[in-house]
Amino acid sequence: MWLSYISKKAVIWMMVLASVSIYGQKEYGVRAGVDLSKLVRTELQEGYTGFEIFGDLTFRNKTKIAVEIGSESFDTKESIDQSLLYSYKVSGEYLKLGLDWEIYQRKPGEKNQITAGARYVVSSFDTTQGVTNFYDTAWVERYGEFPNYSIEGPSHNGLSASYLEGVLGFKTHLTKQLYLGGSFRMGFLVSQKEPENFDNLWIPGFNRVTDGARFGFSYNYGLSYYLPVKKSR
Amino acid sequence: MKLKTYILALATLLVYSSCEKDDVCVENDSVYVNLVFYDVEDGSTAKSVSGFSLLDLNGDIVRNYDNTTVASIALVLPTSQSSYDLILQKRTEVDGLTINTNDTLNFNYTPKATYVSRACGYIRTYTDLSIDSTSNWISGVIVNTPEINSNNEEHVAILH
Repeated sequence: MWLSYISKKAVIWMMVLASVSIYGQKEYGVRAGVDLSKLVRTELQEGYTGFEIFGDLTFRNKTKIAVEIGSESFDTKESIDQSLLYSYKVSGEYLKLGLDWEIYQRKPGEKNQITAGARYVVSSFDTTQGVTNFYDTAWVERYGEFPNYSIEGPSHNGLSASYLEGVLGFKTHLTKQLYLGGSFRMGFLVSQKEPENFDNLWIPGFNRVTDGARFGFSYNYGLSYYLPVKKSR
Repeated sequence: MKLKTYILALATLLVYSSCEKDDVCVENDSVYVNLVFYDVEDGSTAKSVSGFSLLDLNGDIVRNYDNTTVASIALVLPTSQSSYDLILQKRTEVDGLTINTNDTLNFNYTPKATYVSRACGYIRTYTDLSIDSTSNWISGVIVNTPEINSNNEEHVAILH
């Protein structure tokens, strides 16, 4: 489950792309990092667990091949004025692959970066429904809660989504090879496999899905290690 | 310049997407089976009932309409089952004595939970409704719509 078939294909493509790009480059850099914001959110937000590692290959012309791999799980519910409607849990993985460009002209010697980029993302996940109540206005007026339909809902396995992401990122140089930085991301849903008689209301890597809209917003913030590589020929 | 263009594009999309609202549930609600009382002599004239109760099969009162006149009743059929029995007990005064007359309605149906949207969640509807009735004070039961998916209809007519 950690990497679905689609993700495996994407990894292979990524490696081919990286190899072709590195070939012929005299100088490039490799970055690897971990998203701290998801670790903090895991601690602070009930029902959420998440983990993400990211990396990139930076070339001399300041173009980067960027990748993020993550795993997220979100146990949540929908209510109206404290009256529970239904609960559900989504958990799965995602793989983001794309390019970043540096859009900020650095001063000599400066190592801070601002980048703009795009990603193609595949996410595969399972949704398990919990308590399901009926939306019933007359009932909730009389009894103060919605009438129950079931205590445990069905599980939907093998759901998936693909989406495009616009990324605005920044990195601050800390010391030597260490950087601290984050990004704001706006996703645009391209395709999704939906559960029967339910919806993909939250997608790993994409965050909340709004009814009737394809946009989602997310962010990351983490520590990364950058290693410049010079080939001698 | 590149940065400005990018931020502008992002802001435009953000404004566009924030116009979508999905946190209010409108135009959807769970369905109650609406039973309306009609005159047996003239099937098109509504005829209210006064002084009666709804009982379950154990004889326990589900709802009491002792001192009111009732033109129709709205029922929730249990969604955990597909058959439900309800006793309609009518009271009549004869020479100072109260006489109870019972009729049992047997509902057969398929309950459904239909997902509507994030804000509404699920609503209750019924399909394939049929009703059998005894005929002590009730003369007949007509199911007008076996597919119960709206609250604005007279689903069932009870003739008496």
